[in-house]
Amino acid sequence: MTDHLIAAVQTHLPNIDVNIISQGAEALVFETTTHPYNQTSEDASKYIIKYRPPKPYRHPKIDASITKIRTVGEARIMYKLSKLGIPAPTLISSDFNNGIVWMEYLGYNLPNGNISSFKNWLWFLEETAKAQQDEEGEDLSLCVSEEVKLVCNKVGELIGRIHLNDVIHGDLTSSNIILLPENNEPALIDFGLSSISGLPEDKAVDLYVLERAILSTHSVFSNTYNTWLLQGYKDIHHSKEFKQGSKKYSETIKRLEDVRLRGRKRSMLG
Amino acid sequence: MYITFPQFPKYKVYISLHQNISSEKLQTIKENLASQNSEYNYCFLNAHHIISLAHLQQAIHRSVMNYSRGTMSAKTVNAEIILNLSPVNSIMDAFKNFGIREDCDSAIVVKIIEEDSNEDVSEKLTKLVGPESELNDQVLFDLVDFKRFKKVYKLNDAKFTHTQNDLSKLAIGACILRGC
Repeated sequence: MTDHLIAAVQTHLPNIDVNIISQGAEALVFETTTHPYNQTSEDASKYIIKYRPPKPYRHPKIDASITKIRTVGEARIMYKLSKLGIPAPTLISSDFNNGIVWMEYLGYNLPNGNISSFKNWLWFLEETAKAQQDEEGEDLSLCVSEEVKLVCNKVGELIGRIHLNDVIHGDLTSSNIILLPENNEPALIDFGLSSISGLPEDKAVDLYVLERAILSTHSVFSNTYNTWLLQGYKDIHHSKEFKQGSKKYSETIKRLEDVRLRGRKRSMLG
Repeated sequence: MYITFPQFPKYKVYISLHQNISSEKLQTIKENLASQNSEYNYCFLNAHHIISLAHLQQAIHRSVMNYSRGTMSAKTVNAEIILNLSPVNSIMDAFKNFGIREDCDSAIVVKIIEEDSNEDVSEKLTKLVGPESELNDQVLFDLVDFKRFKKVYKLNDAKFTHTQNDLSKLAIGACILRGC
């Protein structure tokens, strides 16, 4: 099914070995060990290539323009974040007309071989706890340790930080948060649905999406995790670094309560 | 030094750094470039605004890509490299900021060569501009005029601009998003 899409990316990237790691509705994500222009001989680094293939059901001209607009939009948000010093992949190279962006590879492999996303990390802790539990009885304290609390707070702070800079991620899930090898510092990835907005509504929806994602992927401790995440979100808003943070915080949280009652969509029509 | 890009094996790129160029020589080069003398068919850059090899290679990579596909925005591939180094779309500004200048006695010369050509670029350049210096990231970093670099790339409000790596990544991002 995806073979012809991989063939398509190969025509744009000759001589580059790509390995598919994820496929969404709009884009394919590959990893590669080849740097497009700055290859050093003994370099084992990996790079990410995000490719938006043409959609055959759209008119070719409209298709080309949509692909370009979306690829550029994503790259622009990534640049904005790296300028703000917020951990996110940086741009390496681009071919906007063909919907290709090269970016930095973030994260490391967990002991079970999975990539260190926030989701995989929490699942890994749960697995480890369950494996130990057989001998010692019911004990899942590993999943709610101080370390987990710290990471959750940091994730909350990170989301607060992008919101204070009016960046809306648009697809906050625990798998779009990558933990970096240094102290499990969180970083954000996948800005395909991101936008710039200062409205409390958009920020609240962003938080709501994350809350629901945590609820469905880490249901055992979802309440604890969400409380910790919101705590981090609150802390960063009240820090001295940002003016008017506490005002923005109360507006967003007030909105979040409304959003919880009605769901992500603003109206039930259309 | 020669570099090649895995995507474009048909081309190789020669990059060299020349330091302590006399102002008369810079003047001559400028005049010859303006009159499009075919002996001077190289891309001459001043070293004040190039932060790292990756930064320069990014621009060359993109230029080679546009050149091989016939989608260049500038007239020649040499001008295309200068344009791709710039964060703004105006080619005049790009030439002003990145082209050879009399107030910078270090020049970086880039030449894109078709693979089967066995032209001796190094020898010709030594005659035109003078002896080559060693070219690496540290040398480039030491030649940068940071105040102007930050102004050109609008990095005065950026948060982390302490290391070469940070600056290089930001400059590359700005180049990639030129005109978007």
